[in-house]
Amino acid sequence: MTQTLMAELGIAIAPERKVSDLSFVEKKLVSIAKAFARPVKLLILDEPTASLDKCGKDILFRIIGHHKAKGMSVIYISHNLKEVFEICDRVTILKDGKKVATHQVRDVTMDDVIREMIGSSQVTLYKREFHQALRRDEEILEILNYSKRGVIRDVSFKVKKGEIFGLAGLVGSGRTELVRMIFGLDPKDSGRLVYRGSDITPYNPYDAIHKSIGYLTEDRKFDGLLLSRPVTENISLASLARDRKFFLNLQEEIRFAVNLKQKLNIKTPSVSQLAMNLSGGNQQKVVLAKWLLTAAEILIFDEPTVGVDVGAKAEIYRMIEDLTRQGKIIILISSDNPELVALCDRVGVMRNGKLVVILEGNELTEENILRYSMGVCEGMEVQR
Amino acid sequence: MDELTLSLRQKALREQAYVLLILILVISVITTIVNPRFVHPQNIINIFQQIAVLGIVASGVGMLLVSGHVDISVGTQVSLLGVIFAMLIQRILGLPEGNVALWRQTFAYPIAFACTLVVGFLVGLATGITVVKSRASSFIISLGFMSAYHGLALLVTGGASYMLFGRFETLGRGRVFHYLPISILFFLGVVVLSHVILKYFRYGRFLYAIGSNRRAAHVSGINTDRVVIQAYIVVGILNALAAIILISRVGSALATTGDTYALDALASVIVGGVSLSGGKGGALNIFLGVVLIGLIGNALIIMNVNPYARDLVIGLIIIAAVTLSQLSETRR
Repeated sequence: MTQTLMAELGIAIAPERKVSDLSFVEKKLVSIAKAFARPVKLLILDEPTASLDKCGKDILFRIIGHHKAKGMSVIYISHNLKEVFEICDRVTILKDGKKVATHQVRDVTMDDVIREMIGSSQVTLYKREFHQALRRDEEILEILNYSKRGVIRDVSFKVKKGEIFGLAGLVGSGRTELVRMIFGLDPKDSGRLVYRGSDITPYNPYDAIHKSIGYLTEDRKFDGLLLSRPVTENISLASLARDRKFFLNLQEEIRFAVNLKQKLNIKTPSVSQLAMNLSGGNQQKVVLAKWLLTAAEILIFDEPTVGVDVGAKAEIYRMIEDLTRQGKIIILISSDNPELVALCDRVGVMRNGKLVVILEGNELTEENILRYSMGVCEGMEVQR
Repeated sequence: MDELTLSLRQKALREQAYVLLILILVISVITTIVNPRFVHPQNIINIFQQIAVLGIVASGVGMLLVSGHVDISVGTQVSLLGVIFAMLIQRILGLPEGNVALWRQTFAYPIAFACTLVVGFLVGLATGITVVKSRASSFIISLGFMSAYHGLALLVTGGASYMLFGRFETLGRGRVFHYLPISILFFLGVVVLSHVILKYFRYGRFLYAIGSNRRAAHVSGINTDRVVIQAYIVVGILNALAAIILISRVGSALATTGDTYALDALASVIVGGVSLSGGKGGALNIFLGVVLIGLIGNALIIMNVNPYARDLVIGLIIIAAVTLSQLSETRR
């Protein structure tokens, strides 16, 4: 039965092979074939071509076309507008959980769709007050040739003193993977970090902290906070790991924590409160405080405002801006494109593990970020 | 509301200490009513002498558990280390009737001490490295080591027992001012040391951090592997000390002499309130847990309950303690 199904779908994989032995694309094709094992009236495909190569994509599209002709309906969820325009009849745009519009694909252009994805409300909540005179062209941090097979492909960029450098891209474009390598958390095939002309590529987080790098992780509950420990211990942790002291200085620790609590307006009745009892925004400020206490020169913020209320968001923005005044170097990952436009001096857009463009000045718009993230304007790549 | 939960959380651990104290008092009162001999100073000292070894083992296990790791091989570790200690002394000093060269008399104990501590260090190192590098559950890995150390002890002894012939009684049976057993002082010393490490050492803070969230600790620059291996080494060294005191008290060593300490030590720290998932608990929790477990054993004997019931009772207590703490955690 498998044999006939596979033949019918035009997938050339011997049925007796184990799934674990198949290549990634073959596995994907098997999972697609699985959907056809029973008679199908409606097929829902969620980003089916992500990580599928050209050949796999052709097979998939042929199958879809074939079954469509036989009367099957398909809901095709995709970030890839080119595919949408290639295979779909109608398109519905969703934004923030609401439906924006449904169109016949032949009636609209990609630009129309992108405009509707961004929405008409261009109001930004935050206006940056201060831009360092960056034209001095003082590029002091160089990220050179970071690569990891199948994840990151030869990413290089330079960041200036007092600059906020944004990293944009869709989920899975490799932004988090890249900064984890930069911080020395994950292994890499190649890549060097150069600061003021000297190589500071960290071997591990301990080394990174010594080299004055801080990394606020993407998911504070997963690898940011000690939820079952007090705020004080969370704030002092990275500094403790850096300083080779045998004994703790409990008084000093509390003093530092109280200081940062006031500075960042962390809302907690006491710094001895357990981190798990704080709200999302205040938890994020605690992680921020941890890295501020290390006095790191290079700070990497990975989605610092996810799950944070509007008030705390503005405070975090103000804090980040304040850091640039002190001449720190900031790399900011965000999936919130208005946030990147409002906050960053320049934004690098990543797609499929590659840095496709660096946007700045008038080029730095939500629309451009989205275009490059989705690879709509392949032809007009700006040289970096 | 926030204020309220704060005070509740902060009190939670101290509350557990209160509960333990009350439990200890209740058991003492009941036992005294059944058999007044329980409160005789001699019996109280007996209890502490009996739990001295357990307390030393449990302190290591407790600090390790704070980091979220378990070692159930501590019982067979103590057996193995005890056998090594007794065997060395017997080899060096021979049987009591024979003449012993002066150098043998002088160096027998230092050599036996040093060797036992070194083996304790190595045993902890082996367990720790395996747990860390295998990335497997510490429970299962130490289960394997439990069997391995047991086998080693059997191989070393060939099933025989090693006697000390009353030659080394001071540590286990000796008393300061004819009253206070020396072993108790070691027990209290180790508890105080654990308290200082957990509360005032950077190292102790790292144990809590790893137990609370290993990944966050790693991102914050802590060498989590090294800290955990060190914790296992501390367990091994404390086991060596415990084994020496135990053998000194008992006067002979079998390949199984210390086996029961694994269950009792684990029971003590869990009942004491060191969270099984790590990141919570302190030296006071370990101490009270040890006293409670020691007390139960003694009370059952004093009350003339079938001694075989002891393991049953302790098993039920572990189950109750873990169930209760799990329920209170999920209710959050």
